[in-house]
Amino acid sequence: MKRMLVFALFACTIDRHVTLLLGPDDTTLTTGFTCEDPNGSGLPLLAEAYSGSNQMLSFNLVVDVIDVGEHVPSCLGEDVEAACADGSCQLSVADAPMRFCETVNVGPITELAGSPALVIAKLQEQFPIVIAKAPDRPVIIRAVATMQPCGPLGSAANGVWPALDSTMALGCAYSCPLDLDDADGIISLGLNVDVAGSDAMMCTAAVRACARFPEP
Amino acid sequence: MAAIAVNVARRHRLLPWLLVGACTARAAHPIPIAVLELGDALDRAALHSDGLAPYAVSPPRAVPPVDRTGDALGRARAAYVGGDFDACADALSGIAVDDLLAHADRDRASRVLVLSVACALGARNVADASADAATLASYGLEAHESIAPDAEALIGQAIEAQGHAAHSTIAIDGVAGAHVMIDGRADRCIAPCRVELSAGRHAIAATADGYAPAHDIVRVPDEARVELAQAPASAQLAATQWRSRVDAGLPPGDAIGAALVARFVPDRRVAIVRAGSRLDGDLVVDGLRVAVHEAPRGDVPDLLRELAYDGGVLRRPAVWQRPWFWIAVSGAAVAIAAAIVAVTYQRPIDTSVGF
Repeated sequence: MKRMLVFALFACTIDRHVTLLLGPDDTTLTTGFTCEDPNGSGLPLLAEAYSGSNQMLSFNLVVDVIDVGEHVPSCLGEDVEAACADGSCQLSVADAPMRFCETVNVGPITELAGSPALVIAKLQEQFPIVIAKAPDRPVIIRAVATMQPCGPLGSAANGVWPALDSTMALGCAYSCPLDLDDADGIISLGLNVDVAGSDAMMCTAAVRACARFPEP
Repeated sequence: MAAIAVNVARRHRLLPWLLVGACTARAAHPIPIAVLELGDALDRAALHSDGLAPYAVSPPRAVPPVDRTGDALGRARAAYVGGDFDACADALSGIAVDDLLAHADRDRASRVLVLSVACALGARNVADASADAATLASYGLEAHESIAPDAEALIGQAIEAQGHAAHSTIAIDGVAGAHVMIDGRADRCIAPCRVELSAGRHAIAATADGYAPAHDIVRVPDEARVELAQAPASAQLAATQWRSRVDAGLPPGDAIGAALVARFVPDRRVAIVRAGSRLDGDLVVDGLRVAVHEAPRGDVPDLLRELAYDGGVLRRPAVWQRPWFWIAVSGAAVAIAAAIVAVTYQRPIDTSVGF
């Protein structure tokens, strides 16, 4: 009995789970995933991943843990950029021993208006766990939809995961800096509406800057 | 060699105890202490205690006195019956009636005197016979010996005359508290005392623990005072007296017992250990009881050590020099550390992230 009490006191861990939303709620995608394609097609940038032959949307989803170091910025993009300008923010292997990069196949999509809900539902169904053990210090969670293959992205160099190719990014969103052990619930990822929502060019630029981060 | 010893101690996890033990106060040389056992208290082979060198002692055995009075009385009686009154007188001459009375043996004192009267009268020595009869009457002895009627008559006359004798007061001095015996009758008074005695010869004897018995003869009313000088008891007598007291249920280590023990145990420090449901002990130093202690049965070393501490033979170690102090301090430190850990410990959090 005593051993059990001691075990319960010292050995057991508190298990928590954080649910990521790619938008303000579980039915709406953030602007970072709904940018209009700047080539004037009128379709979302994410539509580049759509295959008309099988009516499937196929892209790779990368979820990164970005260590912000000692200086914890606010959620604003400008603050994040300023805090990380000295290179203290990294895609550290220490924070994420395994980089999450998985192919997402959503479909068949027959109606464009319903695609965000399908994407969200697919992610919830397919990826209930993307990070098994979150670091216990302030980090930024970033989710990127990209056409970049997962293979090269999973090879770390000098303890740092390689930066993404921003030109292949189709959507991007990030969280405020936070200690995930303190957040037992839901976290919304997003992209600055003021920047991304102004027009297709600006939105795409914001998505690419988000995907490229922490590279300048 | 020291390195080997340290290595062995470390291997057997004795080092902490050796360090603690090194802090405890120890006498430079073990102090000898005699242990006087009552009952089956001691395992003599395991008799040891830190800082002490205990050794078991036994009280000297009493040597029973050789009794020749009975033989002499038998020979005197036989000579009297055979009409050999000189032989009768010879046989009785070796018997000291005063000694018999000093030992409260009034019966044999009476027989000696009765036969003396009878034999003297048989030898036509009326003066000696009358003197012995007067002595018999003065001592208040009863005549049970079967003798000639004329001797019986002489004794009867002496007893009748003694009944009319005047009484006088005698002052008896001696060892304070000595038990005074008069004419073989025990506990007539406690010295110093004064008693009323009839005129004539009387045997006064005194006994006291720690002293040899003493006796004297007084003639009333010629003497009004008697001094009974008792010499200190020999070791053997002291042992006998101590044994008698213990057998009578008196404490073996009270003031008198301690004084007696000091007389027959050569060491100036004596522990008296007796076993019951527990072990009881007294420590006697220089004839005085200086400590009393009890311990669980079988734990003689602890009993001796506590007696030595209480009696000032060993200096009791300071609190911090005792192993249990460090055990308690260590236990308390562990408990406090555990309490701090229990209060401040935060269980690790495992957070998973998913859609």
